[in-house]
Amino acid sequence: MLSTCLRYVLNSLPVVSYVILLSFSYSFILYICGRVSLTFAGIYLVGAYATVSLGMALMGNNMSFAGFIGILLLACLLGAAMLVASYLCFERFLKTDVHRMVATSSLLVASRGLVKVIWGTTPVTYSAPFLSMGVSEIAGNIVPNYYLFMLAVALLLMLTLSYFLNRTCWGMRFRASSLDGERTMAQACGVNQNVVTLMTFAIAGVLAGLAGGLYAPIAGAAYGSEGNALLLAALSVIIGGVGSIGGAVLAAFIVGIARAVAAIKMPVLELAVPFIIASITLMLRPFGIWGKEFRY
Amino acid sequence: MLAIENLTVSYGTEVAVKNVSLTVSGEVVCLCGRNGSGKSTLLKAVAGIVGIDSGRILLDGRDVVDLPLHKRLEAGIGYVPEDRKLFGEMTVRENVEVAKIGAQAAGREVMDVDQFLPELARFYDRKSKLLSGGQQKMVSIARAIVASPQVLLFDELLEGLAQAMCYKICDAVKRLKAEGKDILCAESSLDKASIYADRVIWLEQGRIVAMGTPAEIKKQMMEHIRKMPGERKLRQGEA
Repeated sequence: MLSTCLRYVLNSLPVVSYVILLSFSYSFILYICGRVSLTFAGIYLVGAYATVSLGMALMGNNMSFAGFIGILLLACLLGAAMLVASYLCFERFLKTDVHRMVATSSLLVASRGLVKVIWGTTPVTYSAPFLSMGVSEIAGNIVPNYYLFMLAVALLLMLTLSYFLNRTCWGMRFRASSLDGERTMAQACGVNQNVVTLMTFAIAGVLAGLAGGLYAPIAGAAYGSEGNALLLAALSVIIGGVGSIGGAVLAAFIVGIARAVAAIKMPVLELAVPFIIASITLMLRPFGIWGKEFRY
Repeated sequence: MLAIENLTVSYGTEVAVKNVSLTVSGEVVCLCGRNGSGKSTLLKAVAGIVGIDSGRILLDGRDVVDLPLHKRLEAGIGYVPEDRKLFGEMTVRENVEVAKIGAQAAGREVMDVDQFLPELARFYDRKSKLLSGGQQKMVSIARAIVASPQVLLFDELLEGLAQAMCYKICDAVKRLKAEGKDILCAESSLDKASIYADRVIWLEQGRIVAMGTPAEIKKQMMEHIRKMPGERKLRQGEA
């Protein structure tokens, strides 16, 4: 029984890891800047395609761990640059949440178009990192080391962000900004709101690009996968609560494990399970399990 | 010294402050007037929260009109808003720390806030949203003064506070004045303004209509009411 439960947990690790990164990417912009931005899902897609393309072009089947880390860093930089550019050129002119929702949805479609033009609609795969890392045995279950690597990267990033927000001067500025509805008093205290917003978009871009890059060796890069990513990230934010790192991690585990169980026990419910969990959460805790106060 | 010259501020087509000029130099000047007379707008314009149409705001001779909001702290302007606007989920210490970090980044001297608000030390580690209105006002003042600004702007400083808290806050204001700060406040009640203000400026529809000590302004108002026709006087008295 315990071994079966552990198997479900281990099988869900890739989904848990990328949902942690993606949901916090979405939640971070919402929490710090009070802005709704759906562009992160497009960045996820570009991150996945960029990782596959770069991996195939630079390393092929001769996988080196350092090279793969380098490719992931490039995917992060690409994500940050794209999200910052989308803010500077487009999103900063959007003044209401309705405008932001509509306009960033169209940006998401535009990034899909970009992917279609560059890579086409055929899914591409690059599984060398996944295959080359081998497997381990945990309590009688065989688990690919790449799963553990993904989780370690996601959790390490969340810990780093938690340290940044709660223990550094800049983190305090970010939190002050998130608690100031009109973003005026934080500025009156010397916080440069433009810098905070740009840094927030850059960090969210890094998380989204990395989510795509990390998940690509397992699921490949597939045109249309950003819809599922958007859905899981949004539902995880509802379940975990906005702006909470602990909430993002907990929600990702709940969604990931529930989906893994549903996929085996009741495959017909696999897609519906996150919605059911989100509905129950909304009934019991309207601000999510670990939601933080923020102003928008 | 804070000098405001021919300041005009409007919200769309509605002019809130019309051609106002005043100076504040090492004293406590209080803007009084009815709701909508332009008191808070004038303070917000000096703080950089609302943009201005025309005029100049000089701080020790330097025009600060073009400085963005986050640079006003560096220039030496501290602002306490009417509704306190604390960072509710943060502790009192963190609220003050945010402004302290801003002050240090701007190269300003950091002021010891306990010297002016000794009571603050009792609730440093409490979340600011859990404090009473008076305590929150103290935190808001502490956040404004920690960067040792030359000009302090207090919007409705004593509104909704119990008598004991009013005296504590007035005491802090008087000590700040003794330090040579230029203090510009807005109060809708002349009685409250007379507790701590050296001079009162009466605003009507965005214009200055009277200026003087609190006693002089009170006298002018009483004369104004005495000259009114009976029915209007009664209504004014009730108001």
